[in-house]
Amino acid sequence: MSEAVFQDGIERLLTKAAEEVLETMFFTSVFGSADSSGAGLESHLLAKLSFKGSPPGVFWVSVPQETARLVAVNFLGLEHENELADSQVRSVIGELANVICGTVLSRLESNAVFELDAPEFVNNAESFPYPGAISRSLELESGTLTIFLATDCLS
Amino acid sequence: MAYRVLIVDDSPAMRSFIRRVMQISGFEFERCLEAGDGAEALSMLESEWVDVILTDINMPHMNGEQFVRRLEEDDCMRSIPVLVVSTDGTERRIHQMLSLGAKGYVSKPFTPQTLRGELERLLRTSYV
Repeated sequence: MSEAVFQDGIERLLTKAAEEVLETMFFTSVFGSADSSGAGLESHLLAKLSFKGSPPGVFWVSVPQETARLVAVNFLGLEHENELADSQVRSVIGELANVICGTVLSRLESNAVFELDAPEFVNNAESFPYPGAISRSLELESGTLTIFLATDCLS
Repeated sequence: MAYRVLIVDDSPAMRSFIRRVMQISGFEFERCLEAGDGAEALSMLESEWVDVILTDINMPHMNGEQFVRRLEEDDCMRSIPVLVVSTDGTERRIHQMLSLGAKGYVSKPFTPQTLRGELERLLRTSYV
């Protein structure tokens, strides 16, 4: 299999997994793919999740602050955004990263052995973008969400 | 019949979500207990009876695998059906947890209908 075909397959898997997770568990509609130019990342919430396994790697979710709040409202089933604490937003986006990453890794290899670390929130200035990471961006009602996957076999 | 449920997950957001999804699905429960890991759940079960346990796998102190093993070692607790709810949807992990004694497995992401269907299946089987 050529590298281009492999990368295309990963991109499709990332997109499908993220769409399914957002719509099924986070009650957030996805309106298709978006441009992943990386513009505006400095004002985004960036969740990083490392995973051990074969191969090991790192997964990120990048989302504008306002979009993150609306995703959190949907997930928690709150009536109003003003009921939401910043800590709850991070907790929900951390869960989003956890579920999308787990879904992708489970579908990459049905007999894979992997272990997800707890998600952490990082500044955009820290080692980002990661060399060789594959990314996909999705258009949500309130903004664009971008996911990145980097493993040893992709670099 | 309304059931007593124990949700075991280290994420408060996920515990809240599971409770909410059970409500959305129409699954009838009279009480919903929560624990942050297997050790806390075992401590709770020493004084509270539940009809079904939903547990994550990746948790601190005592993970889901250790928790299910401990339940199986107890003559009373082993009769409580356990439904694993996890991001790990690999065949290997599903087989492992079912072999240890879990009676069902739901991979994330899941719909409210899927969760309710699995809960009712476990409870129907446990009361036969």
